[in-house]
Amino acid sequence: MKKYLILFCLLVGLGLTANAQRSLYSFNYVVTAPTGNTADFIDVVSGRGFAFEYQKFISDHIAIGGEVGHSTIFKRTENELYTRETATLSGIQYRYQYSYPIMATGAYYHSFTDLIRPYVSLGIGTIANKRTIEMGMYRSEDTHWQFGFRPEIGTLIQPSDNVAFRIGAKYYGTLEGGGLEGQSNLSFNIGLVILNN
Amino acid sequence: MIKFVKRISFGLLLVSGLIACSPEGATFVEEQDVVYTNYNPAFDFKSQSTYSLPDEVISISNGGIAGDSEVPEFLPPQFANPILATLRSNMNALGYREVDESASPDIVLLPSALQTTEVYYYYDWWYWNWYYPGGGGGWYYPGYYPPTVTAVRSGSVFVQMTNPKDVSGSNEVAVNWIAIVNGLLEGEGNGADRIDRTLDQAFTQSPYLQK
Repeated sequence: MKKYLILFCLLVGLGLTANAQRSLYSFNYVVTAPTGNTADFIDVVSGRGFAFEYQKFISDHIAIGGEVGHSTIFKRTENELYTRETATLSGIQYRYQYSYPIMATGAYYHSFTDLIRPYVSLGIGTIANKRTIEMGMYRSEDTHWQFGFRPEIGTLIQPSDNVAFRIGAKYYGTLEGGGLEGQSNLSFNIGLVILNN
Repeated sequence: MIKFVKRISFGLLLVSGLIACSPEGATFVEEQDVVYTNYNPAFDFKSQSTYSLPDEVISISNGGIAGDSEVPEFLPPQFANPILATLRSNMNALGYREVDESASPDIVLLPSALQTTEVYYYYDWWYWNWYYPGGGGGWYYPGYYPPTVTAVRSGSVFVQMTNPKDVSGSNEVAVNWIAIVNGLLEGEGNGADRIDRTLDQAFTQSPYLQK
């Protein structure tokens, strides 16, 4: 199984890197800190996340591209009551929120030096928020597709022409929709960047 | 070198994806204990004063078919006694007075253990025929709907609070309060402690029972 997984990784890697010119790929590990309505549901910071970004430079400083990612936040709650009409339910509850951002992005890179390349970026697209509540035998699961946006600031640290590291902070926000109020979180990204010059 | 880094990074991406998909869940069986209560909002609990409680907790293994014997299977005393004691102490604390079932109680509590993975709200009357004062022929739940549950853990405790003075035209006894503790009799460890805690919770989350 492990052998096939590695082979799969290699094939995917070779496929995606073909024919690229002045572009970058970024693979980010994501730490998510819920805010606002999301924090009302789960107020626990989570390190379960990743994001993949591709950007193509259309000028020396400006790049456009896309981002897909996934993050999971989780919380265990105790002694909470849930009442609906005359029915009441209590017990230990396991709450999960899975977020899948799919966004078009635009970024402005400012090259101070070859080593440090700060940038600002904006992403607009959709975020699918899947909320799951497990409580003993009871389980509810709903997926809410929402309009989302995310500003980001960060920097590339580029020790060589083709490889860099990314440190960035994003604020993901969604508008109310799909039967769920607007969601938000702060997301911290550390990533490996591959540049094709 | 660059290709090598690319390949490694795709591997890292997939591994981090797997991590992201697998958060922790319930580890111990008692962490899955859920207490469900529901009641008839039109029933005036405050005006009731007496209740009766059987000496046994029945064991429901099949809700629809009556058995051949006079009495159903009962739960062993090590489980039944703490259930009955907890029900009694909570009813007394709420201000109700226990009487014999022959003394025309306002409320009759019927505790059962579900040895099934389904909740039988309309289980056969035969299960209580040996005890129930005044008689009846089935159940009805006025003013509320019991929850639709497709699968419960075997060993759940089901308590019905009935009114023997309210029997419908089709001979069904009114059930004015229900409590279901899911999977209470499943698992190991201190069963009496779990019975105490979860059945107490059923009363705590039902403040309308207070006289």
